[in-house]
Amino acid sequence: MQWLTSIWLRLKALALRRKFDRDLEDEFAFHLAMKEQKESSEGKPAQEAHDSARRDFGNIARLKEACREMRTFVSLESFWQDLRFGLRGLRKTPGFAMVAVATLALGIGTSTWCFNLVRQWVLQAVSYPHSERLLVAWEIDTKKGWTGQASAPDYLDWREQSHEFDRLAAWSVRQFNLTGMDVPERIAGARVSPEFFSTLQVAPTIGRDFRQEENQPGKGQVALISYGFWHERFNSDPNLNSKTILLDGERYTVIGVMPENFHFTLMGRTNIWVPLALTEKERTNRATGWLNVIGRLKPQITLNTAQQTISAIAQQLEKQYPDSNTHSGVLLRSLSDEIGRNTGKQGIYSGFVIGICILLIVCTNIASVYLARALLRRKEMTVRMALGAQRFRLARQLLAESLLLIPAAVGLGLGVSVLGANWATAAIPYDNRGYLPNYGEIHMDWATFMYATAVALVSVLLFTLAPMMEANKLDLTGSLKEMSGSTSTSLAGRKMRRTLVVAEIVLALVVLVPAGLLSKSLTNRFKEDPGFEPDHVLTAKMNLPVAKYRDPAQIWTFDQRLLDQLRALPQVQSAGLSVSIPFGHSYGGAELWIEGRPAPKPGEVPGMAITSVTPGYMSAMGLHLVRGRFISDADGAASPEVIVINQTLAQRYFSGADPLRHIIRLSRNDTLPRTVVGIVEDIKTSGMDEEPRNQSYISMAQSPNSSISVVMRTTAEPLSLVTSLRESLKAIDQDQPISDILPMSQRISDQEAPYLIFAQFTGGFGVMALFLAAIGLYGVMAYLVENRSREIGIRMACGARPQTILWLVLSGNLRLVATGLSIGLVLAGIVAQLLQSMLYRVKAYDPATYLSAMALMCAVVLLASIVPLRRAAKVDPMIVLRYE
Amino acid sequence: MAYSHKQFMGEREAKPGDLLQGTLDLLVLKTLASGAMHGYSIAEFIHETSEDVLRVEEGALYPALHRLELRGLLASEWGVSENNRRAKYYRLTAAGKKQLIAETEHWGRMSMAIRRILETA
Repeated sequence: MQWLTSIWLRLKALALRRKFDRDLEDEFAFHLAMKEQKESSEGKPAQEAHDSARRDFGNIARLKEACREMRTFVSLESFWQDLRFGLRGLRKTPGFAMVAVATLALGIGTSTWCFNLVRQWVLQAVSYPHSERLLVAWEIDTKKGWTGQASAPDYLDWREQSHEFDRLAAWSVRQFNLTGMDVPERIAGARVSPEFFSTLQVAPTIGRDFRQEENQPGKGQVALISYGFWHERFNSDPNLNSKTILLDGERYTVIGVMPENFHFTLMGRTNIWVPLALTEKERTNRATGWLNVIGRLKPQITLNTAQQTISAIAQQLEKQYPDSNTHSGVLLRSLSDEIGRNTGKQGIYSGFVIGICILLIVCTNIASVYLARALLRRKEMTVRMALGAQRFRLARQLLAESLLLIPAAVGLGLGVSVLGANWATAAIPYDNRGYLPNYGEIHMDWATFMYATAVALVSVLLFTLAPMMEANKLDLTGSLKEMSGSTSTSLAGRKMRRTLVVAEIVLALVVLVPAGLLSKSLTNRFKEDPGFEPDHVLTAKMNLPVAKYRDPAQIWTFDQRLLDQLRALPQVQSAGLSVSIPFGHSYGGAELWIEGRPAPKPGEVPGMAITSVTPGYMSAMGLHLVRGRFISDADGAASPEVIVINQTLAQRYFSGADPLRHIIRLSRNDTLPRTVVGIVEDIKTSGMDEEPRNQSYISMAQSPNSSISVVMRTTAEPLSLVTSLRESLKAIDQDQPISDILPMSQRISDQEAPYLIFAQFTGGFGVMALFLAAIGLYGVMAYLVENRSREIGIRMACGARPQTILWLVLSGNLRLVATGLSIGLVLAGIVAQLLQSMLYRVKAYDPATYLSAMALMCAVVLLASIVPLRRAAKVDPMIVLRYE
Repeated sequence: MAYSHKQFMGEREAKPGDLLQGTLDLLVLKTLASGAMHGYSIAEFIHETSEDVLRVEEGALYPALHRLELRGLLASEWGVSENNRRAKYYRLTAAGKKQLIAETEHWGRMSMAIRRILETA
């Protein structure tokens, strides 16, 4: 511990420098006084005693210096000198300092932002205890490879027959009508099996979890609520006794509150959980998949083992229930994998690579600038070295200067990353954020700061020191000779310059190619026709509670009264209702049985998306009629059942023949034959990249549904009708909430937002990379040209044409450019592979994109060479020669 | 790198053959073993106890005191001297006491060795 004392005393001396000096003086003065006293007591005259004491003592100033130096950090102080010297240097060239800090900040900021994205959205996305044992189970069509939700009996069989899981829980998200409070509201929730929360190993902070006996219809009137909901609705009252809520007109007892930080991203924003309590109908319906399944593996059981067992169970079920389970298997996927897919893990990783590339381009630029500066100062350095300065001391001095850039660069860089993070969060639609870790927010914390500082230190140290060392790796006589002008080009730094040129090209390509691919993909998405007219359409969603609207006639009456109200509004052109709408909640499915055709084999029955619609829906949504007619007032409850199909279905199953007047049934035993009355164009329902699929529409009057989407085509701005819509509804049923009131165009843009954001993100980076690389290449090229100005001067004097000289300079760098391009293409290809899943109608190795990126880089190199060359060529050769 | 830890901290390594510095350190430690003293009385004590043979130069004494303090072997505090003046008193620390024992032993062996060499000649 002695060194600690020592450092403490030194620090004290450093901080209390004046006091220390005074103490030293006092100490010596005391000594002198004592000595003087002694000598005069021995009989010497006062003056002589004074002088002799002082003489004996020796040089007080030197002694003081010796004692003081002992206490101080000499090197630190001289380093301080270096810093001040560096600061003077920077102040003399403020332009350089500003550009260096700004580009560094850009590099640090982008890479820190990406670092945070990776850390907070991918690495820390799953935060439950022992989450490595958590997995999700999907039902998979073993023939087509599609995954989907599980049917209730399948889930129950998996749970019953497997022994690899501690727990296997199921959940299904749904919306509730929350009434009995000031304003009726639709609220997001989920039905969960009683073991759901214990599978995640999360317990309510207040109250209790669900019990097994509550998992039955009629006994499941209990609810767990989110922390936020508890805070908002119950003022955080910890006493839950007799607290109830009205969900869909039924009273639920609140039994617990989930922890504040509980967030299950696969559910999105959810506030209410109720027991799954399967009804008898759900318990036996194997044909419809609607449950999400999550499980926790027993310790020491691997995903593979569990997969094998559960696949065996699925095969058994396939044999047992060929009608519903043919080609139906199970796919297990770890929870972190599943969440990663939802978050776009691969996109984030490739973003991180791109961010690092931007940082490296910045570093390359800094290295090139420092190389130039170091070479400029080589004469100074050489002289100083010749006069005996230590190499270390010189390097330290240069280092001090670049270290000064760090605080500003880190500060600004953090600012850039905060801006980036806020932009990303704001750009993501509110509902989508519920599915992202941390609700789509990115926080700055210590790790962020440490990362930014570390990145700054490493890049500054490495990329400023290396060129300095390179430049100063010189023999004194050589450079002293050079000073006299006897040789015109220096070898020092040339190798490094070549590396820099290659690096700039490689890095820029790695950023440019993905940017190009993504923007091309985005353009392709935008070019797609949704198949309907989304502009000037307002949509909303509601659910009629079963308790209040028991029979279909009641629902249909409500539907008609609502439509009458809406159509009476002056700004409404047409209005209709539908169960599902595009870019809203997912469509239901039905089987396709065409009358008069041989029955398909089990497992090969074609399926189609289906929704029931009211008259007016098709014109309100702007569907395009191909043949026949839309669903109309003629298709009432008493009229014959009808169906409208889309073009893809018509082409696939009626090849050339006229589908009109054919009869379609929705399942083998469907007792209601439906006549095809119309064909409409395909519409996109879940994304602009959707493949054509079978779609069909039936009349809502003939099959009323309590789940209703409202669609209104307006003459005014759609959102201006929100109040009228709410009031129309209130006039019919004042307890009925309505939610998701959104213009149709916004639904599409929300859905497309991730692709837009990602394309903007990489596009922005692409522009940045191009700009930075252009600056960097220009710097290097300008230096190379300047270095050859004498040669150019001579050539010009001898009558060389500017083109010849341009070619001369360029051809010298052709190999570099070629090397850079080829390495860059390979690396860009690797990054592009990561992006494949985000690309629409563009291959990851799209030749046109790679070629244009290469052409762009070549243009940049050319431009970076031409500008300094023109300048060099304009100078009178005589001046150049004389200057030398 | 030619920089040692000590050099960085501003101390100078003892030159080879510079026996006096180590010796002076030992004498100072020994002197302070009997209690706290200020610089002047340390010099006087050595001078008198050695019966006027050893005279400690101030130019050597004070750097030695400060160095020993920095090494944690001595502690110092300001007090009032016998003639009512502000004076800096040095005393041994626990580490200093240990060092004194170690160095006394070392010195004993050294002087014995030197004597032996001188006697054989």
